[in-house]
Amino acid sequence: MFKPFIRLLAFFAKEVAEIRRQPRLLLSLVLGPFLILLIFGLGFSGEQPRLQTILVVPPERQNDPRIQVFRERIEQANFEVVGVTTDEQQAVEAMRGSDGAIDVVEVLPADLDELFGRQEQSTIRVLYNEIDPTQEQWIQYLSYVQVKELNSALLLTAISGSREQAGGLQQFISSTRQEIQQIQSGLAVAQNPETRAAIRRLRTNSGLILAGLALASQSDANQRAQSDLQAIQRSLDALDQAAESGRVDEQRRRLEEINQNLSQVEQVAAQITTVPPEVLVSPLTSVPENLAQLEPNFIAFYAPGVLALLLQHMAVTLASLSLVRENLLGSTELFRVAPVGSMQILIGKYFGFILTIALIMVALVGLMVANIPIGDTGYTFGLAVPFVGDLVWFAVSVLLVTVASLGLGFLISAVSTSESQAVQLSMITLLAAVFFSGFFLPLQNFQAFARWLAYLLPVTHGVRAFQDTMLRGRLPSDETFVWLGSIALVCFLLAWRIWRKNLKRR
Amino acid sequence: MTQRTTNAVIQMQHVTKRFGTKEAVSDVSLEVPQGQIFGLVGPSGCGKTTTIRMMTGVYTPTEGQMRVLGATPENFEKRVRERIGYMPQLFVLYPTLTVWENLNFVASLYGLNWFRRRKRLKMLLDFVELRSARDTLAGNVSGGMKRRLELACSLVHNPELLFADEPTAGVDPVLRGKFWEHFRQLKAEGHTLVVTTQYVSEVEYCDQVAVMRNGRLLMVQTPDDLRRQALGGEIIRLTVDAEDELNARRLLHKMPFVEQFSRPHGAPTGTLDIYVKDAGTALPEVIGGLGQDPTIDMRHAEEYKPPFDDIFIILMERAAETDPQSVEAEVINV
Repeated sequence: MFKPFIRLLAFFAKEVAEIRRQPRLLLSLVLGPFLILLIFGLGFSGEQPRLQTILVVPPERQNDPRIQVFRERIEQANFEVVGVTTDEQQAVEAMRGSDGAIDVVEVLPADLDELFGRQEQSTIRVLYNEIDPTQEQWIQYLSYVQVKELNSALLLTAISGSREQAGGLQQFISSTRQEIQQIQSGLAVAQNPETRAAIRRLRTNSGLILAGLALASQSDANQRAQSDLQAIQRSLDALDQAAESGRVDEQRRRLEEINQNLSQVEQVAAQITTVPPEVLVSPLTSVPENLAQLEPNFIAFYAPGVLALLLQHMAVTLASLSLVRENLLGSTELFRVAPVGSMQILIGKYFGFILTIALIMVALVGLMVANIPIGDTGYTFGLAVPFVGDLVWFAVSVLLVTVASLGLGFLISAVSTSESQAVQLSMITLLAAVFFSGFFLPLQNFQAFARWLAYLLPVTHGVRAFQDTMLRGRLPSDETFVWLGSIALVCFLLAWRIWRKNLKRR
Repeated sequence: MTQRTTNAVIQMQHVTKRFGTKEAVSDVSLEVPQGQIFGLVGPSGCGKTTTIRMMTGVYTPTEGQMRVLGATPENFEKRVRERIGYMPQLFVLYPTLTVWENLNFVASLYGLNWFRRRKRLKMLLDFVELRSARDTLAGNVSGGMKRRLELACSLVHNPELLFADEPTAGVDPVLRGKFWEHFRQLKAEGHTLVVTTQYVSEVEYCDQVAVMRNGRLLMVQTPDDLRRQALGGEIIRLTVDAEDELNARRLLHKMPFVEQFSRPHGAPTGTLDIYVKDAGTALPEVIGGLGQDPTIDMRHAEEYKPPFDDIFIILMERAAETDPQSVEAEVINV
């Protein structure tokens, strides 16, 4: 047989035999991730915990029934009111001394009754004592949602009031039109006292309607109605002056103006009465619709990421210890004398590890996707992770991630002078993988330079490729293959170069 | 010092090896003839391993020229490497592989065909008496078995030239004897062996011995010549009645071939070591000369070969006299 091939197979067989001698390692590599995913799936609810909140109310509002309504609204926004007090200082102290049991102190404003009468916004103060930036963002977001919710509720109440006012507005429009007809028919009579009496009635009625609207709400429609009514009042004043002086043309022009403004008020009144208050408060709403082939649960979503993370870690660890062990064991002395080259050693090791990892992956993926009923117990064996993609492309992705990760491991091994150094570098790689691979934190959240670091890790592309093939049922992107191929090639060449230098006769 | 031989498989000409400023081997010139057991002997740190590593191509000489099997070691081609076997000083095989797997691995390194390999490995396991341990993990076998496994590994491809770096270090005397038995068997099969050892008594088994000290080559001799050179000739040990020692001394003084004589350290009265050039010719004359005197009761006379431990000490002491500064650094294992 071809001698170089036999030499290459020497390392292949040696690596496989050495790993085969460690059944506990193999078992932990397969069962470890499986059990972690299983416990994760059983134990993770996926819901954000409710914020434990102490509500601080103004002393004079302590027994106000509206506080209860307010509290219900707050609790709809993921806040759990665990206490109500009037003493802000006491509430803050309680939060500080609670060791995380109290998340938030929410202080309601004293001027609840004057919300629309004032010319500025009122503030609900949300106090928290948090060092976790994610939790802090969560509190800020929920506070924003809560205030939006409260504002909507207040607007809804106000608009409901507007609708009552709008009923009066329509009566006002109807009576005003009649009065205007009468005024128009009496225009021929100079300084007609009935005309002026009608103008005063209209002036009084419009004032009353305007005051009612001002008290009702500050919705857009309401404001437009008020504006139009004010215009009508100005026209009525001008009409009164024209009637007093007997200028008929001027009276006609003013009556025309009033008619036009009445038409506008009529439109607004129609809108206020016909459009539901909910639509007026929130004209836009959203209906989310997921077009993905699957809507995986948490286990299924994280399974490809766990697989990629484990694959990289396994390959990096195996390879990183490999060359450094040869150095420490002294086998390199044997290799320097024997008719074997650095390339043969490296490629033989690649093949040995690829076979080992492939077998582990088959077992692991099998356990993940298995969904076998256990008798009539109602339970199933396996994690039932869906697999909707092409198995061949998945295998290609696994192979590429494996080769790239082995390259990274061999590079670590080639530059390490001790086992502890190799282990340390492997752990740093794992840490980088957890933070930057997009497994937990989305890549989009990182600055560009950090994303480049992420792209240098095989696991980053592995997570995406495995999710694509397993959950989305589509091929991994060309970019994924280019990145993985490049990492594999560059790491291999660098590792080979350094290893060859180490192995060189001195 | 260098003996010019036509069939030398190793030739070293003024070879020096330095590691930084430290000179591990200084100006060594020697030749190893084909089909011999060539011993490299000397105290720890004298440069034996460095020399053997240069011969195998692990190290490159800083100065001088070397040829092994007709090639320069640092540029050994694969074909030349396939003719060389190497048994390193330390155990460099895999403790997590079995004895058989280790052998199989090394056989693959040398490109041994799978069909031939099985038979060869079995034969080697028999040769080093490890057949019963073939499925035992190398990490679980005794130190002596590890050394035998390494010997088997170094022979797996049936090399023409075998380098064994301290193969008997830390091995019990019985096993040491077996190792040398193996080496003699290999020599008989036509192999050339270069063996380093700290056990100077083992030079007896070598055809030629190179004695090293502080990186320098003191001499290359056959074991007998080494002894002769150390002692300045050969020794006849004579035993007479204690009361006759004086008469015997008087007669010995008169014999022209006797260079000197003395009572060995710690020996009883009546025992004398007689130093002559050639014990073979001198012994009959000593026996005849003393036998003519009826007053001398001669009890025993024979050629005496002192152990190489003693020879080695004499050589080292003599070398230390010419280079006294380096004596403290030596560790002599006798």
